Amino acid sequence: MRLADLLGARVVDADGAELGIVHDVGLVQDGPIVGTFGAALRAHWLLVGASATWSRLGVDRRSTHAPGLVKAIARIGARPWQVPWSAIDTIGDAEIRLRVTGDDLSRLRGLPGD
Amino acid sequence: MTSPHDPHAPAGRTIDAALQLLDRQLVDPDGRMVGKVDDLELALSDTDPSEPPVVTAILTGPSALAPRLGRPGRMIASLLQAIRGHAEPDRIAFGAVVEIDDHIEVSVRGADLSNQVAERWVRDHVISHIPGAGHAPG
Repeated sequence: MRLADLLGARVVDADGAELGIVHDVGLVQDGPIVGTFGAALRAHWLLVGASATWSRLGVDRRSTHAPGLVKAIARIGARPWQVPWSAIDTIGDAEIRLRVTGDDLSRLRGLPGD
Repeated sequence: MTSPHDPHAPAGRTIDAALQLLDRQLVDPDGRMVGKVDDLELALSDTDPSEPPVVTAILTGPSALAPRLGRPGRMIASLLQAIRGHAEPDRIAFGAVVEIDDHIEVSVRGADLSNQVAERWVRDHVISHIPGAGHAPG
């Protein structure tokens, strides 16, 4: 599987509701040891949302440094969903189906890896 | 995405793949720019697909970039396949990554990557024939 298979894919929850598209994939360096790099990166969550503009600029991430006004404007729009990898049911052609509903995800929002 | 102070965050360094890896410059041990991170290869667990997949390789070159470009990209990929006889991108095992910063330092030399073929051909057959080319540094 390639990262490009995930980016831009539609994400549909267990009730068939569309949550948006995958803007990014969150990696954590907690995998098996590989060569000189150390622990491998593993994909722990998908960043899913309707609006791509702020995601492409990265200003919707807490870790990104940006002027406060820009981050405040970015927060006016719908915040992206943070979908844990364990919530994925199937990965199809440009569509990812989840085993949970959007309501479940709202509780998971901000809690990667749960 | 997550703050290092988030008590619920998994242990380990966190990286947003598209924001912090894609399109970053690859630099070889000699300091030469040898391509860009055009895609990543992910491997799902054989035993438990619900486990987070591991990033196994960096994919670089036109064949890796093409699928990200939509229909024009698919046309380019078909053309490359016709010319090169295969559509497989260059693959750099993630174990060869030395450091991730504003560029990605890898332990693989550019000479070993097929995405440098066109650049080498132009250097050997065009640039080297330009008067004074032999004085170029590096």
